Parts: sequence; structure tokens; C-alpha cells
Amino acid sequence: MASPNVSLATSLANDLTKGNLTKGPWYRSLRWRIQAWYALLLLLSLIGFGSLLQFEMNRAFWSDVDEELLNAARSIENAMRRPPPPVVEPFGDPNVPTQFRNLQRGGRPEAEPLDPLQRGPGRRPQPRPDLPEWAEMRIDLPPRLQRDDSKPYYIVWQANGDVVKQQDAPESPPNRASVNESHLERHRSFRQHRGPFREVFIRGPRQSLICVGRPVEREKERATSFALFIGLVGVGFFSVAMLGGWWSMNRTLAPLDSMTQTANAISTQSLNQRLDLVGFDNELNALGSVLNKMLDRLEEGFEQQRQFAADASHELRTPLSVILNSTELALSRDRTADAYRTELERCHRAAVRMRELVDALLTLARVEVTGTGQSFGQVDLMMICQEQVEFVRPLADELHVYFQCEWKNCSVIGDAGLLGLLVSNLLTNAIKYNNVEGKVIVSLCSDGKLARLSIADTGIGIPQNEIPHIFERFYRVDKARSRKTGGSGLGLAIAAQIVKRHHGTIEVHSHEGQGTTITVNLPISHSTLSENSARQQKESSDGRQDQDGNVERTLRDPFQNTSSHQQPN
Amino acid sequence: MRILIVEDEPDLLHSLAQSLREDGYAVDTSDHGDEGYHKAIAWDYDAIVLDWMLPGRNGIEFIKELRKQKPTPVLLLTARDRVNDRVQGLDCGADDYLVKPFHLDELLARVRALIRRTTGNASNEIQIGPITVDTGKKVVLFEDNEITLTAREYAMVELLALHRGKLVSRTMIYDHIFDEDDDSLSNIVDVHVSHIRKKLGKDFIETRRGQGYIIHG
Repeated sequence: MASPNVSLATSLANDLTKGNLTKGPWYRSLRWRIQAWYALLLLLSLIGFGSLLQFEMNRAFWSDVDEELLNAARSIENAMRRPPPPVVEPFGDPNVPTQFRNLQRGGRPEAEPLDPLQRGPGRRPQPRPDLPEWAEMRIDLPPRLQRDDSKPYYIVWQANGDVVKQQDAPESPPNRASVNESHLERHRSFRQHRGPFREVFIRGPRQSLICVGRPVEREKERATSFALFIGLVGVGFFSVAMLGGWWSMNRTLAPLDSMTQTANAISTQSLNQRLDLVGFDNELNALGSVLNKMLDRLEEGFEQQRQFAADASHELRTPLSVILNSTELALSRDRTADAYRTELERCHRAAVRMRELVDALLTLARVEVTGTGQSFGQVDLMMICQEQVEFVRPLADELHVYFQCEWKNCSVIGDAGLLGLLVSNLLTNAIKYNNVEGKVIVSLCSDGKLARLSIADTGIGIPQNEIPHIFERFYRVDKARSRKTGGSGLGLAIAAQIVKRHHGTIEVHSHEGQGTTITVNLPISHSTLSENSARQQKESSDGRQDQDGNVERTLRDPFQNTSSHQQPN
Repeated sequence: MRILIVEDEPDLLHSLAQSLREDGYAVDTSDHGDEGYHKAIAWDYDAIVLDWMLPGRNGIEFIKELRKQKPTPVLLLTARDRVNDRVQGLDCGADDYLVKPFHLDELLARVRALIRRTTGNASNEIQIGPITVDTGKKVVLFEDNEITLTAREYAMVELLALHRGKLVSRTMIYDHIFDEDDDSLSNIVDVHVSHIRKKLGKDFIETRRGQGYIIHG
């Protein structure tokens, strides 16, 4: 007999509590994803920074080397432009390898056999007319370049590509063809790495080309080890940052884990547990309190459901006991026909009560699931009232209760069946809880927006402290009285539900010993209906604590007004 | 044995009362908590069968207030079957607890057990010389032969047997054998005693003139 809301809540809570929190693959983990993004960003910035650092360091370093080499080249150029000194050094520096000397004469180095005798100091070379005068000059590299063991060298080509001068050239000399002429035209100097050498080329006089170079193996090694160092430092930073990130993320997400555990531990049996929000950060605190509020509502729903089930079973158990015990008693020994008849009558009464109860429970369940607007239409409320009054008149006659009706033609938006049930329930109550020779005053009027149906009796009334409870299921103001009058204890609960479905209001005014008036206001047009619906939704979302259990919000305010209003009496 | 039933459902009250009466008990009934309470205070019942949900004071209040004055054994009847309810019922002073719907046989057995315990007997069978009183089957045996007794006669034998060795006054017999509706004559006890003596022997019940009766066990 669960209402749909409650059963929804049940399945929701079951999902929550049975740990049906599906665990996705690891890469769906928030932790992993944040860590991965973090790693990616950090890696990119570290690589960027490292590369920039490496690039700048290299540039600064090589520009120093280049400047040195360029200065040397310029000093050679200057020396070449100077007029030759009066004393010509003997050609053939002993430091210059033999094959270059041969090259200078246009021979091929491979073809020329090495002849140690040719290097004799006594052989004076003859000036050659095709060579410029500086070809015979002795030009030394500036001493600044010749420090340590940097092994600098230079080579001078003349315009036709022949080597005319050189000093300490390495085994594999630079190739003139590798020099981009146009580049040299534009920038006046040209530098390049050639294997383990760094070389600078400039133009010399008469379209000659000067190349100064030196081996840079050690510098290159230094550059490599520096890059390695930067790389290692980067990896170190990366690891520390990753570990720190993981640690701090775990710290941040730890409350989430504890929330998950608590939520997992909460079952339908322990819905009173709440998440402990002490020490949570703002964001998680908000989430936690939202969850706690949801748990409040769930617990309330469950409590209502539990109470309803307990009440329903309690109500069914008593007539069931009567049937069981009467039949046992009747069968325990032979009895007279009268005795059997008596017991059968008891059983019948009990069965009738059970049927009433089951009918009422089903009606209540049906009313609760009926959505507003479904099967709603223009309904003639006056006709319904007339029909229902006729319907209950036999009961009224039996109890000597009289009707006094004042009604105007009035129609509302609603379900004719439900409204008939509403009117019938209210009329039956007014008759049952009336005094003999009492009156039931039915009045129906309309203010253009709402139809107002009021049913007043001249009966025993309801004590003030009971009024807030009379719409609760199975609530009986006086059990003894209800035993005699019968009824399921659900009539007013059903009435309240019907009114709620129609977005109306129901109010109770009662004076003990004088009588009770129940007033129902129902919207007479679709526009009023939706207006009321919106207002009620807003009111219920304001979320005031529901203290009266099943009593609807829209019903409670009138009671409170009533109680305070009537206290002076 | 005299029993009070407090139950507000009239049909249930009736079948309970009738089955207890048919089992040989004197039964008083009430359908209201307050009225039942006043009866329970006014008479020394051998047991009370009490519904939890009652108009007036409910079963729990009933027992709590009764316990301030009397140790009368109480069997609580209720439709509440949750463990908490049972615990609450027993803790407030009820001696036993029966959930509706129940079998009448079980109710009768529990009532018997309650009375047996409160009179300090461990067994249903009480042996007095050659005579056995079986409070379970409600029969009296004389050397294994069943002696036919009327319900009243049996009730008297049982009352005296349960209190064997003690003096049982005439008032106590009246209080425990007859219910409030019995219009008994003043000498009805003497009549029953003489019938019992005819069936079970002259010496079975000893008369203490002006005080009451006693069975020596």
C-alpha cells in the first residue's frame, strides 16, 4: 500500500544503501583524471622551460665562441690588408702539414708523395705571380684564441677556391663549397658546426674567404651534460610535484571518501545516520548538507510508510482475530443453532470491517497516484452534492439526523468520482458524529475563483488538541466512539488527499459539544487551478519542517489559525 | 479462577470471555480502560487479559498504575508485533504478551501458565494423596480414574489445591469462583463442598468453622 513517492524513495534508498554505486574504469576516477591533467600541464611547462633555458644557454655560449672566432678572422683579414713587411718569412711554416703546401701549388694531396726533404728550411719558395702578396705573409692567430688547448685553425681560400693560406687546419678541412655564398653576402659572416668543429667564415680582400675554426668537442660535451642536468632536474621537479599533487588531492578528496562510506553504511534500518560535516570545506559541506537534507526527507518518507504499514496491519489484525477466535470457539464443541448463528454474525461483521478497511486503503492508494489534471474536467459540484446527500440519507434517517442544504449552481475542475467520494466521506462523518435529532448543514457557493463547500454538523465536536491530527491515517479522536460507529479511520485522510489533488484547501473549525464545520475550497477554472498549484508547490518547496506527519501543508495553516483563533473560547 | 478481560472490540471480547468461561474460569469483562482499571483494583483477579489499545487509559498506563498496587498477572494482547513493542509491553510490567490474531488454545494455555506461576506451582498436576488435580486438562483423577465434577466444583477443587496447606476463606472462594454477574446464594459454597466430598471422600476438604476451608497436601 505504498504511495508512489514512498516507493520511489524506497528504491532510491535501496540503490544508495546496497552499495550499487557502480565503479567505472580507473580512468573515470576523478583522482586519476585530475592527476593526468596536472601531469600533462606540468610536463608541458617543464619541457617548455627546460628547452628555453637550454636554447638561451646555448645561444649565449656559442655567441661567445663565435665572437672570439670572428675577432680572430677579422684580425687575419686586417693582417691580409696590411702591406707586406719588408722581411718575408720563409714560406712553409713547419707547423703547416705538407699536403697543404702541395695544395697551395695546385697539386692534389693524394698524388703528392710525402717528401721530408722538401720541408728543408733551406728551400726558399719563389714568389708566384698568381698569388697575392699576403699569401707569403706569416699571419698568426691572435694569442687570445690560442689559450689552453683549444687548437684553433684558419684557412684562407682565394676567389678561385684554392687554399692559399692556412694554419693548424684539422685532418678533415672545411669544404669551401659548403659555404653558402648568398648568405655570406648578406651577413658578412657565416658560422657553422661541422662535426666537432665550430667555424666562422668571412670575406677577405680580393674575394678571398677566411675561415677560422676550432674543435668544440669539450664544449659540446658540456652542453650535453648541461641538457642532461636540466632534464634530470626537470624529472625531479616533476616527481616531487606529482607526489605532492597526489597527496594534496587525496587530502582534498578524503572527505568524499568518508561521505561515501557513511552513505554506504546508511541502510533503511539506519536512516537516522547523517554525514558528519565537521571540518569539511565549503563545497563539500554544501554537498554534504544537501545529502543530509535528502536523508531527512527519505527518513521521513520511510517513517510514514512504516507507520502506515504498522497501522494498516494493526487495523486488519483486530477483525482477523474476531474471525479466528469466533470460529475456534464455535468449533470447539457442539452448539445450538443460535450459538452458531451468533458466531457467524460476528464473523460477518468482522469481514465487513475488513472489506471497508481494504476498500479505503485501496482508495487512498488510488487517490495518491492519481495525477492532477488526468481525467479532470468541468464537474457540476452541486449535482454531486445532491446525489451524495440522497445517497447517505438512509444513514441519516436511521440516526435521526436532518439535512439543511443551501446551494447555488457551481461547477469546478476535477474528477467527478473523486469529488463524489470527498463529499460522501464528509457527509458520512457529519452524520456519524452528530447527536440524535442533529442537523447537517451543507452549503455551496462560489466567489468567482473558488467554490466553497462547507459541511457543518451539530455534533460532539473535536477537541482542539486533536484537530491537527484528524487528517492522519487511522487517527481516531476517540477509539470507543469509532468502534460503535465503524469506519476505517481513513475517511478524512482520503478527503484530504482528494482536496490536495484538486489543489484546493480544506479547513476545520470545531467547538467541542457544539459541532464541527469542514470547509473545502476548490478552484472553479483551469487558471485558478494552475495558480493554486504553483502556489502550493512554492509553499512546499519553502521546506518548513513537517511536524504533523501526514497532514498536508495546505491543510495545516488553517488549523493553526483555527486553534489560535479559538483559544479564547 | 477469576479473570478480567479488558478489550474494546465487542465481538472479540465476547469470544474471549465465552471461551474462558467454557474453560471453567469466572470471567469479568470491560471494554474501557478506566472501567477495567477500577475493576482490577477492586478485585483480586487471578489474571487479567488486557488489550493494549483501549479507550480511556491504554494498556501500558493500565499496567503501570496497577503495578503500584497489585501484582496481578497480566497477559497483554496487542496487534503490535514489533520487537520494540513487545519489549515495551513486558518491561512496563506485563507478565506475558500475545500478538493478535492468536489461537484461543494458546491464550488459554498462557493464562494457565500465568496462574500456575503466580501460585508457585511448577507443574500442571497437583498430587494430594490418591487424588490428582490436572489443571491443564481440567480434570480430577482418583487413583487414575477420572471423577466427574461440574465446572464450579472443579474450579473450587483447583483453587483449594493450588493453595493446599493454606486456609482459603469463603470470601476468597466467592471472589475467585464467581464472576460479577453470578447471582450466587450465600450457601452455594457449602453446597459445592458437600458435593465434592461425596465424590472425592469426606476428608479431602477440611472445614475450619467460621474461617474457611483447607486441603492438606
